[in-house]
Amino acid sequence: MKLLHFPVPVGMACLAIFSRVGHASMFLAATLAALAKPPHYFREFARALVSIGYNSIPIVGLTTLFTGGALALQVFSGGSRLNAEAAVPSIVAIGMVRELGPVLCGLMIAGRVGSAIAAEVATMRVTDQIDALKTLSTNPLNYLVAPRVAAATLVLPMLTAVGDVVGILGGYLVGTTRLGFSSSEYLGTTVRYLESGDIVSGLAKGAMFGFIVAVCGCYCGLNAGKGARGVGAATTRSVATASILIIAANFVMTELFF
Amino acid sequence: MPDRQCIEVDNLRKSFGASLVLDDVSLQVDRGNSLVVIGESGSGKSVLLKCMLGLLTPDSGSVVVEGNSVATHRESFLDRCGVLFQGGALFDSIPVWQNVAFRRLHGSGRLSARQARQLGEEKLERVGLDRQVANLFPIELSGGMQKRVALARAIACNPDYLFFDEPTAGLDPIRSNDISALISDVASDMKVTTVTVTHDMGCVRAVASGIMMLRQGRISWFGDLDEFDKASNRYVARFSGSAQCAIDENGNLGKNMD
Repeated sequence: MKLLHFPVPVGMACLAIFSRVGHASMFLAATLAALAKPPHYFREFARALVSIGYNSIPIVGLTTLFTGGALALQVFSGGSRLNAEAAVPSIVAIGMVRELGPVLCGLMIAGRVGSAIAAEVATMRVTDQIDALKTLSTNPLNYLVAPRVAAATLVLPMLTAVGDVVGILGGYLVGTTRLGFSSSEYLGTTVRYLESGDIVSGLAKGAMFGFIVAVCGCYCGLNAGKGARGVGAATTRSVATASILIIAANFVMTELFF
Repeated sequence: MPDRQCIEVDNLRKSFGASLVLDDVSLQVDRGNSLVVIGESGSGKSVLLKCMLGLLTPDSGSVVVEGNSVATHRESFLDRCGVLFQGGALFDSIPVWQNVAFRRLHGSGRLSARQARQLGEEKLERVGLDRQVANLFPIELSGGMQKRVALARAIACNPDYLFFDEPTAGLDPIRSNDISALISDVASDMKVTTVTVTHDMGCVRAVASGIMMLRQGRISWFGDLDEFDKASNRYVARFSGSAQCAIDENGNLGKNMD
């Protein structure tokens, strides 16, 4: 008899999932409409550019610098078993530009910026500031969401480019000081095998990851529960969701650019 | 006298999940009158206010302002409203003068920054604050000053309707009386229709022309200030000076205990 009740919780769970996906899809559509349709708040956009982009340069730089150095060591270690040590500069460059640069940037920004966006918007929600915006004839999607999404989508490719350069620099430093490469040999090999398609695919990934981070932050913030606990939960959910989506989107985009 | 009744709420019901918060609430507010909604915490006062403003969608029932449903004319209604939220709901990231003149900076009837600043300073003076406060950020203000700034923001665009959600919550009795007197003064000066949600009796006596008591989502009493002081309703008695009142088993007011 209990078996007959089994479909009920399954059905309820499916309905809950569809409801959430539907809700998120509607938010996404409304965000895209807010991006396209005025009013546009350029001061908010500029503020978001600084907080998402400029202020994130140190964290992105440090992360990619060490990752580039570690990658050079790992590739050298693995390559030496195949007599392919000479490929270290090109593999570091291609690996950083196509994969590690954008993914690391995306994940670091999800942690630093996505959480900040979610916490700020969630705090605004629990303190009635979102309702206050509506009563002041201002659409929160136009004022809060669109500037952050636009700024993150625009600035992440730039941060990715910075991360790529610094990551390659990390590999260069390790290659020339620890692995016996000369400076000209390392840089020559790096440039020779790096194609423009590698750079474009990495930057496109960066733009997509920026979009994901900002949308997740805003969505989780706007749908936060009550009180400090609601703000904390929204922040955690934003980082976790954005990180998973970045990893998934990275696979899909890698497949597209393969 | 249909033209006198400018806000009409009919059979409003609102629930959150299984919890019924408003149950068949109907009321009218005449033009220029000041309705105060009282009731214990969790009785549905703030939900009623948000339904009246169109910030929450009721399960059933309607809110009609001057013959137009708020559900379909929310934006035009909100253009004519000023709202003071419980915690002030000031925007942390912008200075006080931008908070006050927010609608004129971002909404309809935009002013230049200079004109908006002048408007902000004038409204700050109107609520008893020094013009120098204009440059501060909300976080730098005391609770009472934040309430005054929120009131300045609410009246900045000369609204026809003012809504106050717990305007004296969190203030000491002196500040609370100041804010109540200020609200009364501003409302009579501007000849606006006001709806106030509070459980502060000082505020009730300062601003009310009509009083409605909500209990468990239903209207349990309605009348004016004179009737309020003489009411035999048990819960009204509790609000109006309860300690001196004896209440019989049926909830009726008996003789004074002293």
